[in-house]
Amino acid sequence: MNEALFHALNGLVGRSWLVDSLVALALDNLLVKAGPICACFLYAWYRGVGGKPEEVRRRILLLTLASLFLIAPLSKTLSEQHLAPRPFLMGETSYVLADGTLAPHPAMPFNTMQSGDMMGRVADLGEGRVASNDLVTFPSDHAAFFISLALGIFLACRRAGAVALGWAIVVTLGSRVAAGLHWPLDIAAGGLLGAAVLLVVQFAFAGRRGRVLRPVVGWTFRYPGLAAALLFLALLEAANTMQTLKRAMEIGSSLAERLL
Amino acid sequence: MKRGLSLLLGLLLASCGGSGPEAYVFMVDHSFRAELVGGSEAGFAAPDALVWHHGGLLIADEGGSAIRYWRPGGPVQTLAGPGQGLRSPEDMAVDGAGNIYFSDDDAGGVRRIDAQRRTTWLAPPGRGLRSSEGLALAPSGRILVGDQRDHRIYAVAPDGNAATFIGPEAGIGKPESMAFDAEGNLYVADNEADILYLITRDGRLHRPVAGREGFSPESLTFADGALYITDSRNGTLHRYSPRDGLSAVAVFTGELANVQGIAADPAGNLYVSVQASLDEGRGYILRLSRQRRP
Repeated sequence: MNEALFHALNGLVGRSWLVDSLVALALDNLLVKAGPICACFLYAWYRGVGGKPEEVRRRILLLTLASLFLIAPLSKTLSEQHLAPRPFLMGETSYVLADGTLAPHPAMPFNTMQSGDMMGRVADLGEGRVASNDLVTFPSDHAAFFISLALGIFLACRRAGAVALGWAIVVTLGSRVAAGLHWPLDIAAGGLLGAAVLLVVQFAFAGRRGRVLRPVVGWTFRYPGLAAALLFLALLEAANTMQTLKRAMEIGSSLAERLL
Repeated sequence: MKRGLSLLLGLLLASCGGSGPEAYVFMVDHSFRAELVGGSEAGFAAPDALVWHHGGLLIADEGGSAIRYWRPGGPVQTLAGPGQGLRSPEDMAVDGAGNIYFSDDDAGGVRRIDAQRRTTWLAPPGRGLRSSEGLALAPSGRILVGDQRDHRIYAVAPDGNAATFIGPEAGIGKPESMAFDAEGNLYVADNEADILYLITRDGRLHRPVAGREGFSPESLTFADGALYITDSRNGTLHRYSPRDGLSAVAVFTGELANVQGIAADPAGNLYVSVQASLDEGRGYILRLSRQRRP
């Protein structure tokens, strides 16, 4: 089923320049990839009367952002447990080492996109360059991030959450399968991971335990301008799957090595 | 809610469990096929340089601190080991009389195993040759040896006298491997500066491959008129010829990513050594051969 679903989605690309350009936009452009999901987040945050009380919504949304910071290291740790190359790599003839035996693995039928950054990645393979994160793709960190974010929005505001979930599944994650960056199973596992972390964090601060967040939520009402500015930065970083934070940690680690 | 949470976590943990593939080798050049010749269970630890010799492979077993000889399918013979003071044997060359010369990047110097399997110093480490790396037998009979610490290539005469062949002013950082072509030009792999050097017979230094992303040459060998280059940093096997330039043959990943030595047999089959773990003494030797056309 995993392969059948992959081939069905991958069959959409590599045929039409227009379709490939739209898929490439969903992959490479931050606004298309994550913009509508972040917009839904802000809708849920600022929505006036109706639905859950505003204080409850903001608590859920703040916890959703917090859960994203847990997902980044957890997803990385899980994905590094075993080798899982991106589907586009399996378009080459390969050999698989398992249990002390090297067995041939025929090249998988694969449609290469004719537009966007994916063309460069496939060309890189032809020149012998394979990025290390192209080999450890299970579970998908994008799926973990965006399913968690969309589900958190859904818990705060169903209407906005339904739009965010739909966009995440069809556009953000569907394009990654169609382009050959992930298997559907990577996406499903990433989505499960994101949902699980979100629910654990929400559960940890449910009911009376949620009182500890009251001062933070109250602060967002007292200082709406500063809260909006910080929210913008946090959403931008979330939309970018915490890449700035990861890079900052790498720089910090390198700096510490050099100094010590 | 608790039940749902347990179910979600259970599904995720179950999907993450189990032992999957340990490595993938992607064949960029489809005319080659790969096969595993053997692993450490054959009797070597973590192999570095390979040399084809009398129908078998001489193995500089860096992980096992030994020089070994192996005909695939047969037993591994140890020609010299820690008992002779070997620490990290790096590269090897064989002369017409059957003497095996080898370098050692921890112990330094150049040693020789003669036909009677006696291991002696050809040139012990002293003011130079403190970290000997790539090694090649020159047409003149001298042994060329790279030195990482001095950033030099020394020429060692048969009597053991060492003289500078290429000095640090040439800019070679770590002469990891060397190979002569049929015309007597010398190729030098520098995996510190990530440059493939060419020293022509007139002594001029060229840089045929330099500053190329994803290229860090480790070991060199000639086969079918082309230079084959392993790249341990990027897990790649490259082919180079002055006419066709540099191209990728295969990409090695996971357990097989750390490709080290390379040798070719008279039929043009390539043998590539892999150090899966130097500390644990685990490695492999793979053969890449041309596929027969139907």
